[in-house]
Amino acid sequence: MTPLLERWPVLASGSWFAVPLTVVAYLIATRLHQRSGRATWANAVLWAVAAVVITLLSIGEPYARYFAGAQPIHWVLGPAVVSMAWPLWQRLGELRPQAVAILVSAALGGLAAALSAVLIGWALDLPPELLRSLAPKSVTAGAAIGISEQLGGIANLTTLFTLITGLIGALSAQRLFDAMGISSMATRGLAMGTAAHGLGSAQALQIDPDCGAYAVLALVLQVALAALLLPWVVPPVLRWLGV
Amino acid sequence: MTAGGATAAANSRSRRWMLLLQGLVWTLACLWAGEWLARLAPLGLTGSVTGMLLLLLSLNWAALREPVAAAATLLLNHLSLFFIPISVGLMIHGELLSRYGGRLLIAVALSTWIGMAVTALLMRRLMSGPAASVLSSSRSTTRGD
Repeated sequence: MTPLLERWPVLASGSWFAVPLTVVAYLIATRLHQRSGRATWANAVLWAVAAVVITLLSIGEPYARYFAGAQPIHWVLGPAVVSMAWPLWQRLGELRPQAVAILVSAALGGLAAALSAVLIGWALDLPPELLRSLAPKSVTAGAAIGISEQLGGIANLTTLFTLITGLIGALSAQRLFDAMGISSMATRGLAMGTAAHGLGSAQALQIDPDCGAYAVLALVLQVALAALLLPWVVPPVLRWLGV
Repeated sequence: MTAGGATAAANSRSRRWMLLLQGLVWTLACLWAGEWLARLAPLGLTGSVTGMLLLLLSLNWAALREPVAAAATLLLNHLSLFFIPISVGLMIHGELLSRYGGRLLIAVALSTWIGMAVTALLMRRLMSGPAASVLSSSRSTTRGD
């Protein structure tokens, strides 16, 4: 016990039950999601987070202590983002013939999602730290946290926004594309992965394998594109808006 | 026969564990190298994204592919678990959310639709020629898997 706590001092100040609570909430929520036939409303993260929040509030445990105790789980986000290189590498061959079209669409589509969020939020009079937290919401949560911190946003609000973005995208994408007359499954998938990251991709995988494959490709591309572009583009826009 | 079968099964199981372990070690090495590089050259890339690009480059080395695939499958299958702790942090922003919740929802929903529409329209415009039909009708080939 002692050597581990000496090497990872933050654990000593954390709740001992943070890891088991998180894992149990995740397992139950995942099981419910499977039982529901993978319905979008039954999203596992949403319900696991709700269960943990309710538990912490009802026993009066402060978030800081929970988060310190949950470090071993939080820490794995880093390697998980790195490992997205694998699905991307698997699809590089298909990407090449249309590389320019895919890159331009993903880059401008991602920028449109980020900047329209900032502009709409600004028009609705949202405070600056919320605007900064909104910008990376179309990027998958693991990477959005890092970008949000770079922009001066609040990381845990960004994860909430990415979650809602993914749910809205997954629930409404097919109706939107039908209305727009977009029939290509590759195009639909690319758009869902670009604007609605992992949850969009999960939904896309259920619609059609092509749609899902391109959604995963777009999700990973967006991680790299947003990390490269947003820190250069969003701060000048905020300055221009006088935020 | 059965003994041989059991040994073979045990061998393949320990081989899978070895692959997984090697893959995790390499993924971590890329993460640390990425964090170090990101600090060294502040291009605006986070450490984990730099690590992802390093891992992508390293996959040109065929021997790494099987271990990396094993580690990535494990990590990505449980991706949602890893962002529960930080998402729980919304509990300390309850006041902010109750005050701005409606407006935030409008901003998030509209921008998600705008992002999807812009991507799809650009993609339809830019995909052209014979390659377009290849792309839109391609069933997905999976390399190295």
